[in-house]
Amino acid sequence: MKTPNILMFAWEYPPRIIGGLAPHVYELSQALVKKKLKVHVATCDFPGAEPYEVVDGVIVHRVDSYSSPTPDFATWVAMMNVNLQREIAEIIASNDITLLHAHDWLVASASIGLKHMFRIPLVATIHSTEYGRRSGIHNDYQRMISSTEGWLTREAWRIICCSKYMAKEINSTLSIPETRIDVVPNGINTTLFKTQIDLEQLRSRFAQPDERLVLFVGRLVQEKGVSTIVEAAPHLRGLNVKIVIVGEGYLKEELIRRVNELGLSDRVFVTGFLETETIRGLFRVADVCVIPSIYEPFGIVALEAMAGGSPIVTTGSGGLGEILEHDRTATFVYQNPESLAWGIRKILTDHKYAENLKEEASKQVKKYDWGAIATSTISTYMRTMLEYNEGKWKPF
Amino acid sequence: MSSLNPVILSWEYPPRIVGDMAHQVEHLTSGLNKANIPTMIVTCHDSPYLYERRSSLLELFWASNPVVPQISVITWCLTLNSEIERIVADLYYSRSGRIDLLDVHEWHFISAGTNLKRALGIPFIFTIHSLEDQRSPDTSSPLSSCIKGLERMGAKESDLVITQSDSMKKEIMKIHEIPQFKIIVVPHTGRNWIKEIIQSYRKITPKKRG
Repeated sequence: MKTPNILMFAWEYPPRIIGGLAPHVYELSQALVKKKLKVHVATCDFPGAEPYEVVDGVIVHRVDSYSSPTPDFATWVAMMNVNLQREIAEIIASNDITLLHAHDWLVASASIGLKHMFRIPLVATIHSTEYGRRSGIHNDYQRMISSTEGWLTREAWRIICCSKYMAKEINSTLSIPETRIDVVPNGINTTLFKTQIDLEQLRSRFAQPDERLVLFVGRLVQEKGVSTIVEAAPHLRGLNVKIVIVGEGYLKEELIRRVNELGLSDRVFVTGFLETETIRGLFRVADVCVIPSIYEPFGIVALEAMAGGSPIVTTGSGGLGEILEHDRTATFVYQNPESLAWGIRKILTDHKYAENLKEEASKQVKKYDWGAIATSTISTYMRTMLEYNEGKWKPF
Repeated sequence: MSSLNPVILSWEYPPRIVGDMAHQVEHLTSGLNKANIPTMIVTCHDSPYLYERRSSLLELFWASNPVVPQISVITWCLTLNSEIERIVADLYYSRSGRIDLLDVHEWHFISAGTNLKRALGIPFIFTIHSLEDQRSPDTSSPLSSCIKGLERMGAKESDLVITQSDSMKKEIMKIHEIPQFKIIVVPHTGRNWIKEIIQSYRKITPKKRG
């Protein structure tokens, strides 16, 4: 059977980068094109970016995302979908698009409407759920987003998510049977971690030569468990460590306050936002990477640490437990300061153990090459097309 | 004379009566039926039934919102629009494309009218009963600005605009900057009003694609 021509919907795509969805769609679309699929991406406009361009074979359509004021974010999303759907209707009408692929609830109404009008099957990737992001549903605004996620997953022919943990979450929070869900992990481009940069000079920006560099990269929010790192720092006495916390988030000021309160300002450095290149370099020079997440649908940071060659200490929550294995590719700890400090100490004091973790991780990360992820995604597409072609839901 | 198969999109239709529009649309469907024109109404309701045949010439299709709860009239309307699109597309495919035009009443389902025209080539009329500028006490609010944006889209994307008075026509031309020839005034109290509506319908049907 012929591979389908894809049109992906994503509210962010480079250079518009809000979170992890933009790089995911970018890498996946490129990898699909390398496997000879024709891929269009429909996304929001961005200052200076072309409304239409072909990026390494991927046809990108950037649509006016509605710039007038709106009462709230959800209303903006609704108006953005109106514009997206209106412009993309003509693109589908004049191109041979045979499968739609929506990424997250933000593009639900446009992709569902177009699915019905053109009778093209729809696949949806759920990167995370509102329930998971908010640790429950607490008000009508969140309930509406969760309901939109439910609508998208009911309308999609098949659903892709990044881990078995997420498949269970989608099953329990959105009542979608797991038989309709395909687990396709996120991917990583490991070549980006091999570029020629002065690593010594980079390291010297964050730690003294004799200090061991303990790295955290992620949003500074409760679900990432970042506060536990600060609380673990006093338990690392006797080790000459510099803890570098990279990222932004609502917990940033609180973390800095707590670091000062504990008298650790010479040991813990909260950097805030850093450029992607710098972060990749940090993964290459860190002596240990700490991932103490409480909620983690996947854990792309684990792949980055594996690709950079930094040994990992983690709680193994959510998807992390599927990527990593205790004492083989990471050290698993409990989500408390004492346990986290124990894990860090184990890696920093047992050189051979740390080297073994790094070596095995560098082998395992190859499974997450975007080419492999594209192959799994194509399997979902092909299964969808096979079922669609055998069914009766087609235009006359 | 060739047959005519209009689909009317209206956010209210008896028994759902929010304002006067429900009665006006009912008056229209009754006039069309008297002229022997089969008419389909796609409207919204929270009741469980999806389809109702009221007579041999009048079919009703009920859409309910796929997303509950909602936080504003805009989010409510726009998710409902996808459901309206589904219903009209299902009708279009199940009846071998025999939908000649859409008559979209007010701004609520303008997005569906626009998208169905672009996707399936069904021409559409935008019937304007009143304008946001006349209804809202604060037309500069973000909510009003969204509604006006949708009205403007309907005025631009539709094949024809129908309204009920010359003063309304002037207002529409001024606010939405569309040419005079695109707007037809048909007062529903006029003697020949239904003939004029049918003439307007026939005027745009040649624009149907395919």
